[in-house]
Amino acid sequence: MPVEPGTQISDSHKQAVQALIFGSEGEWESHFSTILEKDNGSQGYSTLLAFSVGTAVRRRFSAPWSFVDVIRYVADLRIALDQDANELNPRLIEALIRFLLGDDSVKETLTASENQENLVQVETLLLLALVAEANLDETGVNELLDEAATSAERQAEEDVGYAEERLAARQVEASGSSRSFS
Amino acid sequence: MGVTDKQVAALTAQLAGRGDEHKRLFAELDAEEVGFEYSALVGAAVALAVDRRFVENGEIADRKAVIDFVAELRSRTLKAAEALDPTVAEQLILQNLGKGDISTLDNKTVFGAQIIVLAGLIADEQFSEAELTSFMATVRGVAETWVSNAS
Repeated sequence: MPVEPGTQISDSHKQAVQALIFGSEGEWESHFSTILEKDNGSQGYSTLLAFSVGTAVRRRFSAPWSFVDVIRYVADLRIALDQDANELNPRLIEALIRFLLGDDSVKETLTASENQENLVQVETLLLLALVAEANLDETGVNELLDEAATSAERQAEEDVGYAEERLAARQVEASGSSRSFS
Repeated sequence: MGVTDKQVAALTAQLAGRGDEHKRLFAELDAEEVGFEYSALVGAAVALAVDRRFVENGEIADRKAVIDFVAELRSRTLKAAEALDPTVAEQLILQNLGKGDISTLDNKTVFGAQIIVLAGLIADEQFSEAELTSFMATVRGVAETWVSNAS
């Protein structure tokens, strides 16, 4: 999962995700407004949310997992949600879970423009469901968020390293090309 | 023209798992009869199979039972898991139970889902050859009525 360069995850991002899980809508909105005002954008929050879902999914589906496990989980989730599940696209939830477990074959479904709007809703719902299923209290969620933040920061470093390697490779390529013309 | 013996034989072969026979008979149908009489036959078979599975003593199963069946059906093979959109399959079944809506779906999508759902329902019935023949006779009767009403 790529991370935007310069993305920082702060305590206010963690507090906002905590409020999303345990707080009221008003409490979450208050935290989110603070993030928008103080942290100049919601990139850190979105990244933490995405990595929290990824961490929770990998905890839930230990290897070796199968597509059948994912189908069953999503069906059970939709059954539990009853009428609230009507607006959810089961294939999008399945694709998100599979992608977070390392199946890149579903990337197209997740990047399709018509699914972008629903993706945050699906991420949020999945996180709430996984936290409830794992019976995590605030301490448990804090541990999950710390683990997710560490993963995101590690990924950001790898992405920067990769970008630098690409840049260096392009420079070598460019200097090689100029030599060949000299 | 009503439903023909060949159309019934083509669908019966498919539901009995005789793939080669189904392919041969289906290839002999022209596009017009596939789009009309054969589609009516498949639709009637789905309606009756759904009824057998999801209606018991006049009581219609709830949406949970439908989600559960579709998930179980998709879990049988990777091909079914990829090919069958759960939302489409669920709406198809619910529509046959008087609860769903497939009006926004195109014919090709519905037909594809009908075949997979029907195959799953019939496999679960574990019909003998005689029971399948009897089921198909009832299906044919329903399809004949639909076709004559639509003509």
